[in-house]
Amino acid sequence: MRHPTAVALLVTYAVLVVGALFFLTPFAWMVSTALKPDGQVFTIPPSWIPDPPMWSNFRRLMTEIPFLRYLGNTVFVTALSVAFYLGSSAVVAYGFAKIRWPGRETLFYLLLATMVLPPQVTLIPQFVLFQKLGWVGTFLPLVVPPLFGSAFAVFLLRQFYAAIPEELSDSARIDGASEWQIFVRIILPLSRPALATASLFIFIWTWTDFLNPLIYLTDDRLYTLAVGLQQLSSTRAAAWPLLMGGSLLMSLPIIVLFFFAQKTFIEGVSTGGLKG
Amino acid sequence: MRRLRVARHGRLHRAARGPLRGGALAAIAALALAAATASAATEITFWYAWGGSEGAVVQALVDEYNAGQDAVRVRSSFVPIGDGERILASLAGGAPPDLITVWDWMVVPLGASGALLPLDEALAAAGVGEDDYLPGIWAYGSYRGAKFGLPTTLNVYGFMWNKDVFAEAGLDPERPPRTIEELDALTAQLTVTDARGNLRRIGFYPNVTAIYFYAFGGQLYDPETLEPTIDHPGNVAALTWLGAYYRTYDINRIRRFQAGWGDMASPYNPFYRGQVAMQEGGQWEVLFTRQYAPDLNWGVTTFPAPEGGRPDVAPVQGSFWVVPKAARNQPEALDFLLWLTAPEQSARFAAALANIPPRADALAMPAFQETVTPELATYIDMLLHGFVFTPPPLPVGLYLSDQLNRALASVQDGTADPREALETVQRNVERELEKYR
Amino acid sequence: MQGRSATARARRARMTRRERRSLWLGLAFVSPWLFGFLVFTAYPVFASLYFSLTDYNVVSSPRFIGLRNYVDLWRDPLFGTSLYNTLYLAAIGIPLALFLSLVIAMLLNTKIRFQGVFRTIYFLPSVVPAVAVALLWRWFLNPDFGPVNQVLEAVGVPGPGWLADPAWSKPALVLASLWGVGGSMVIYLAGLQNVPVQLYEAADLDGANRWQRVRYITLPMLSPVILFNLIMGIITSFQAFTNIYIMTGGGPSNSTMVYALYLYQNAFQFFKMGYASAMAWVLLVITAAALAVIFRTSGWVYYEGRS
Repeated sequence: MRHPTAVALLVTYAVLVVGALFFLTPFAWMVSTALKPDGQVFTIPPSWIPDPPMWSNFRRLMTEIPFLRYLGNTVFVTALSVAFYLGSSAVVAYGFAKIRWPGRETLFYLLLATMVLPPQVTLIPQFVLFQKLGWVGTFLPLVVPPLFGSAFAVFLLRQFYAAIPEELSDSARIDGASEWQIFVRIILPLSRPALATASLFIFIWTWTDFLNPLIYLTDDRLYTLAVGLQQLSSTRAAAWPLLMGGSLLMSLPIIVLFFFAQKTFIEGVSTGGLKG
Repeated sequence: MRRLRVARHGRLHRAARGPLRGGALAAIAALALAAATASAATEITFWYAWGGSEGAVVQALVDEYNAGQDAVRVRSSFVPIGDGERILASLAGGAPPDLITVWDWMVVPLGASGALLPLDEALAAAGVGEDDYLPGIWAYGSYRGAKFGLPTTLNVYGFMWNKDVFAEAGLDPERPPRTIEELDALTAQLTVTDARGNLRRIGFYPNVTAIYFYAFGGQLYDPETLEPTIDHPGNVAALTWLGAYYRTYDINRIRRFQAGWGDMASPYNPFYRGQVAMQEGGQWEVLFTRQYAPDLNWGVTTFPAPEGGRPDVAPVQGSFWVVPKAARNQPEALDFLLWLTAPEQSARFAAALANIPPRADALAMPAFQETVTPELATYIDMLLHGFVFTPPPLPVGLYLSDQLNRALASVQDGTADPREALETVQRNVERELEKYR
Repeated sequence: MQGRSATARARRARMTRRERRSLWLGLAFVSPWLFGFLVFTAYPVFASLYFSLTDYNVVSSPRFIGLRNYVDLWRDPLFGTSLYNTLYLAAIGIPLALFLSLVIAMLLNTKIRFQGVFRTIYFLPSVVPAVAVALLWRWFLNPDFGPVNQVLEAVGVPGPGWLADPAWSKPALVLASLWGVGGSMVIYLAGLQNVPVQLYEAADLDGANRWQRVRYITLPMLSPVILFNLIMGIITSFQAFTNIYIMTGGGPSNSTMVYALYLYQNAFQFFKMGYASAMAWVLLVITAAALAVIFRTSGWVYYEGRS
């Protein structure tokens, strides 16, 4: 990458820093609220420094609800979902991007169309379906459908696969490689940024999903954090410090993963003929 | 030991598959009837929506019930109701819990659709009747004569005024407005704007439109025929008056003012801060003011009304406990429900939630009486002697209140005439009700 | 003569066999999704289509009423209003988000210190609960003491009522969607990694300036990802309502009543699931039409490896 000029660099830094301060605001508020005593959450004007910082809020979080159990449930559901969604979507996207077959475009539009219908109107029939299967009250409705791919991930990966030069696949075909071998040995390694990005979004979405765990996990021992944290609030007043504390703890793995995985998924892959 | 009562009707044996199992079940049921107590505990599922400290109270009650007998074990879960997605899904799926906590607007639609077990028989068998409940509350949660749920506790609204603000403005702090004319005059006197014309204090802020419908002598439904009467002349008069209020004080200026209001459950509540001098407020304000504004001098009384209106309206709302028709353990659920709503438990529960118990005998219990302060006594008095009204027993859910909000909005914007707006609502509601005829 | 037609027939038969092989291969790869669709998705989707032709309150059996829901929808003033609000927010919000996230991604792709830190910071709002973000915006845009109006007042511009003013509530919502650019930014960053360095080097040799590099190399190479963000932007903006519900509840005066919110109210609060299903299918048709137009005019998308 060519090095930008000094002026361009300065302007870039200035813009980025100002923007960063702005973008830090929600997280900063979340952290500060997690440490506030109850009365200081919605002061006017809003206060940023908790006085005094209530570290005990985190202890309350652990004791007022079975936080660790909910956390364990959430980890279980999310880990399986990410693994299943990613695995199947990676395969399905290959079929839509790298093989030309009659009916491909039609099915692809059908896939996109499934994302378009608002989920509120399919919620009830889908629930009845799972009820008939006997899966309601277990983790199954949450971890089995991911085995069959996510339209979002398939679409994303399809776009990335389609940008990989066909010459690479062609030369492998000439060498007698099967489609599956081309997929695993050539396309997948070149798609690390896309795969990591897809996993990131699936992770966040599953980790914070409220509605699906709410309706399918009828046994409260199976609750995930998104549902369980609601139990901290009374009907008249939301327990903001505890809720933000819980959300903060929930967001930490995502942030840590994102920051340290930069090398892996955004820095990309070096191969002959592609990015340096 | 508790005797298990078998509900005579409405039990759906969804789990039964095949004549063999059905026959076996019948035999077991007969044996159970013969035995005075069941040897193994029947487990029933109970969904409640209270979290935090309120949830702890519910859980304590459940534990007490479980400890007190061996026949039934209540498995309780905290379930955020939200807009009922989970409750509707479980009812549609056919395997709902045995006892559910729901918002009041859900009871009639669910009952009218046949999803809930009518409680009349069980109540009659237990000797519970209209006289046990506070006046006007027995019909709450009923649809066409059948009771589909029992209120958990009650919230009642009163007219609050800030005595400090009154005194500061040179008014007698012990004389709240009694008529609409007085209210209008005081509102004008107490409203303060700054140099730019923005509001610093609004004399009066109306929130629940239905209150004024009833105060002006109107009603949302006819208690005899149970048909909606949205375009009642009293309602029209109230909406006209509200329209005038918003024109006088400018709806946009009020919205702008509202944007800066603090959280209701905090010291920054606009009423506690003196930004609103008079408003509606429920009995929980007794607890809230003690927590967030202990130095505030305030009073509560009945709503001001126009000449020929009702000077004593007592708006009531609350949450309910219902038993689905598809519940697997109806007798046990009913037993638990009757225990939960018995005077002693009801009193304790209401006291813990800062609500009012729906039964007269619960009201009298020491567990509740010891929480009664002079302000709470005023609320109770309004409930006992005022004109109690609850949301109409129409199976339309929040559709009606949404329509009323739209009517109000069109009057606020000046895009509709109050009578036309309400006639439109009446037509729309009637159309929705056709499905239930 | 006969030999040629035999060769031609053999050639055609060979292509058909290859086509058939491709069909099998394609279906094999796509089979997980296809199976999942048939088993888990098809029934709810078609059930909702059926419900749109019924009166259905979820707890009783649906009652067939034909196209009446659609007719009522056409006559419902809030249908038009909510659709207009949704399209307004999409028309302004999506291009803005696409542009901003791209600019930020490109800035964060240059060699600067603390690249990782910056990227994490810009992504952070995506992990903060929506309810907190919504409340923060209510404060930011508060007409009297919110920072935005304070800044405007400082430069002598009277601050509008933002979320409290029907005329300004939608622009306020567009502003409030700014914090969400972190998501598409990350996708752009991933896409930027796949732009071959050799292309930039060749461009430098030809004396291209920055703008030309962006226009002739970066953008075309990013076009598959731009298309993705555009389509996902459309789909999510048509369905989003939770943030809006928390910030404005659909007001003031229905100025922020978006389609998805009205649909949700009908489905669960008004016990009108049939009507909500009709709304859903109308939205499906509209969105499908929009997507069809986009795909038809997507010649600007350059797939280097398209099969």
